[in-house]
Amino acid sequence: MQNKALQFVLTVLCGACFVALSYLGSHRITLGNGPIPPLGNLLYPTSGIWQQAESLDALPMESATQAKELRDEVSVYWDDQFIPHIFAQNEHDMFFAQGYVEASLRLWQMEFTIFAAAGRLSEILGDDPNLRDKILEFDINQRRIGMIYGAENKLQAIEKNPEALALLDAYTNGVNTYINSLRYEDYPLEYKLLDYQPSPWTNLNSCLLLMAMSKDLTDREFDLEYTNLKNALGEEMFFTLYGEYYNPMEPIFPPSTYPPTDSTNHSSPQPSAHPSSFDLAMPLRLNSPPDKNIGSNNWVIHKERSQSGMPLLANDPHLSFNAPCIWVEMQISCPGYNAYGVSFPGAPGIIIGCNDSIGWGVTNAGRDVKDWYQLTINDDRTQYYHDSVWKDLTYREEVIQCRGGEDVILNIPYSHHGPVVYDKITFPSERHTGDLALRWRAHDPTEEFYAFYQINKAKNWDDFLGALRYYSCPAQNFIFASLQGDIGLRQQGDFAILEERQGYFVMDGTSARFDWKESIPFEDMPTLYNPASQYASSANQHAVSPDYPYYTHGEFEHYRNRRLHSLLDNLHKASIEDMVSMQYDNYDLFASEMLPLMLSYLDSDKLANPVAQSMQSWDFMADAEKVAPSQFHLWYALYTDSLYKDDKFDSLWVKPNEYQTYFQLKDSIRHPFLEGDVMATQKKLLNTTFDVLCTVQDWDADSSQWGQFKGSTISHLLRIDGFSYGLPSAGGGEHILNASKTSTGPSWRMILDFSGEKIQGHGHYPGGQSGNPGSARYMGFVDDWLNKTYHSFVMESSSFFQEDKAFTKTVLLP
Amino acid sequence: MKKNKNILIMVFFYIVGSALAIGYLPWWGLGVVFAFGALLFVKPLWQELLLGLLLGAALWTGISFIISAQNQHILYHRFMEGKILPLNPFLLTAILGGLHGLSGSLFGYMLGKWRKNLRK
Repeated sequence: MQNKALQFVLTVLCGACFVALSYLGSHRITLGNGPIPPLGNLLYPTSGIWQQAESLDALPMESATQAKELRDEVSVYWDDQFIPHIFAQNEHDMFFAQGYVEASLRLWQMEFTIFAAAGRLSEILGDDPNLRDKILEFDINQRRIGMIYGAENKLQAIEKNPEALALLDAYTNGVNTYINSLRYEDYPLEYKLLDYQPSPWTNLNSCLLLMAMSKDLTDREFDLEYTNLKNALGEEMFFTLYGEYYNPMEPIFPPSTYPPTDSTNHSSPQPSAHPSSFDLAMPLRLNSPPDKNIGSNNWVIHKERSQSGMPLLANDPHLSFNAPCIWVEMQISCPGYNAYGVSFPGAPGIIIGCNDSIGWGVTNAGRDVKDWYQLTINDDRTQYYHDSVWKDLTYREEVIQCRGGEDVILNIPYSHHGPVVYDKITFPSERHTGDLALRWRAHDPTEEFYAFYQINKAKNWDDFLGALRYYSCPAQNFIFASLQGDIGLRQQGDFAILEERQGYFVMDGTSARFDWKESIPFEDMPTLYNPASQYASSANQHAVSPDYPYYTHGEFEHYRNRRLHSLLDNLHKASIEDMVSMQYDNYDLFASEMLPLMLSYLDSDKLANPVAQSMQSWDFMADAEKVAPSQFHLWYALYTDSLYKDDKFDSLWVKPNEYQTYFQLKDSIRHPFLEGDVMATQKKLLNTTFDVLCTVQDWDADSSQWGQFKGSTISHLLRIDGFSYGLPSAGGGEHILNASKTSTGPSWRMILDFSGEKIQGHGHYPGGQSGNPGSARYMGFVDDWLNKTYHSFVMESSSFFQEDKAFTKTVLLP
Repeated sequence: MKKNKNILIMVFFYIVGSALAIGYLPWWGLGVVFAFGALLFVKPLWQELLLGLLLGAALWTGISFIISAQNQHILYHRFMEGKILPLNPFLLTAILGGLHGLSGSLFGYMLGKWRKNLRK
């Protein structure tokens, strides 16, 4: 009897162990060091991660897929670069197929980007004790700045435009058809590692993607920091250190292109009206500081200046080095529509590329489209005082679901400006008791998708300009060329008409005077069309000089544009090779101006030091194998860290830019950070930091070579090392045309040649078409990107692909 | 002769059962097959455990290796470089497959023993 009982107990125990093992292997569990993925699901060969070990010749789509939403058959041809060429019979099917194909290549990236944009990362990462607080803080910040609010506004605008809504609906249906076709084994790897499932795609998601791009590209504003700095330094010193215009500035658009001053009727500057009494102390910095390295280059050369007698257009947007890449390359085509280029996974249309008639590219305008207002809110937090009356606040509830924890509920007050981001009751800034509302152009109901839809179909400059009427934010410099031989450049965005220096600092929210009212008219936006210079270019510099009749301000670049101009001025028979050489130009103009000046302050005995000699003999080419660029940039960093160190400020303040620092040194400008004799102090600082430079690094080591020293890396979105990729052989850097920095750089290099019957393109990006780390195409273009090898593309028709059997075809059937 | 026949039936059961489990059941299905195998084909404990351990490990790792080879082990190397898993992915796959096979076999064996005791 006892034996039987023991037998029973043992059997139950073994059964329990078996069930427990099965349970643990099926669920993500959190232990001390963090969550452990469900190892059973994860490693089971026929459904786990091994299923993402993609066979080398595999395609992301079945050879024939049924999709009942389609109206006709769609053919997708995959070329040897794994680039899909989508041929449909109508626009609905084309956008449907684009959604389907993009999801098949990048589904996890698309959804993760949306989760980040919407402040929903806690839903998938909130159970990781190492990340929980940081992720929740990130999510709260995204909610407080109104990311979902802005996306909803954009969706409302799209819903009023049946054509725009139809294309977005088709795209969304395509994504969802792909999602619905998935079984667990087909899920992208990251879903399995994090143990969650793809959720249905919505039109709002695509709008959130646009918000994410707007945030990335308009985040470089320092109104809060500048308000503090102005209070601490005084207005005159502030503008000495943080000036708006510099010489030489070489704006994108020369004064001859500006509208006459009397055509505008905005009010004249009244500096006394600017708020100066706010003591913001140290406002919280929202998320990480804005990335000053985001930027781009584009230029177009008129037919008179090219070897072929037809235009050449080049563009390289400098965005984050992400894995999967921020871009996906494709052709989308149907009767009346044929576009090739790169798209953001998650958005319909081609963002940068060409069609049968024109080519286009973009750089970021860099102008300030975010302003802050200090509100006066009543005690019961229901109204705010504005324009001599009390107006109602509205409250928006935001619920953040935290995985493995309780929901976090936010009630965010909204004024007519927008969200009260810093709310002294529930989200106070550090040591500050004010309420700060954000006015941000990205919140407005705008139709950027429709603008790109129209650009994709444009046949000439007039069509192109017509399409840009729908484009508001983030403001861009749109470059243009056509097979007719025309070239053009236009800064497009919706900019409020501002008083001088309005929006430079936090403004008084009780006065209607500082509200954004009218926008700069479309006709007065800076534009170049077949310019006399025979080229047009932009590199994130100031678009206009002070002669422009409207006040503009923002955060601009000061070196790449001047280097670009000097190269373009000397280029008279431009070829594709010249374009490549310019996109890979490593000349460090900043170093060429700053380094000789810094060296001139060194004691004479130090000039014999091998480090000083290495820098003295440098040709200012920031090539990957050179050591001098590492020495210079480290020395500059050590010098400015010492120069701008001051107890009155902590790490939240903004250093004057490199351009201004150069002028301070050159002109011996006195400022509060320099005590006593300016030249003597500068000399002491430079000599001291040079001594540190000589000892802080082994300059003979390989790790001192510029490529390794700056450590450019394509980082997986989850920062998983094995899914990331180092770029130690990448030269270039900040302020250099080849702008390959640590985490940002040329995210798509494109050159368009208009000399043939069809536009011939050349391009590559640092990544690969597949978003699957288990695919050979995950980093498929990286070597090309490093080695100046571009793949070519031509605007071919479907018959071209049908005739050439080298292309693999997959079909979507109705 | 009868013994050989039994071995053939057992081999047939494991092949068909494993194939069905791999094709149609979640990852723990293979353990269930081993549990049934141990229940139906009574063998000494050490044989049951060894069979579950080795067959589980071999099946999981073997299939994974074939898939990974077609991928030229790209994913495997990315996992190794990033130290994404605490052990070598193949080793971890083998351990999991083996452990689960073993626990399934053990449970089946114990169930068989208990059933036999009940009949006495």
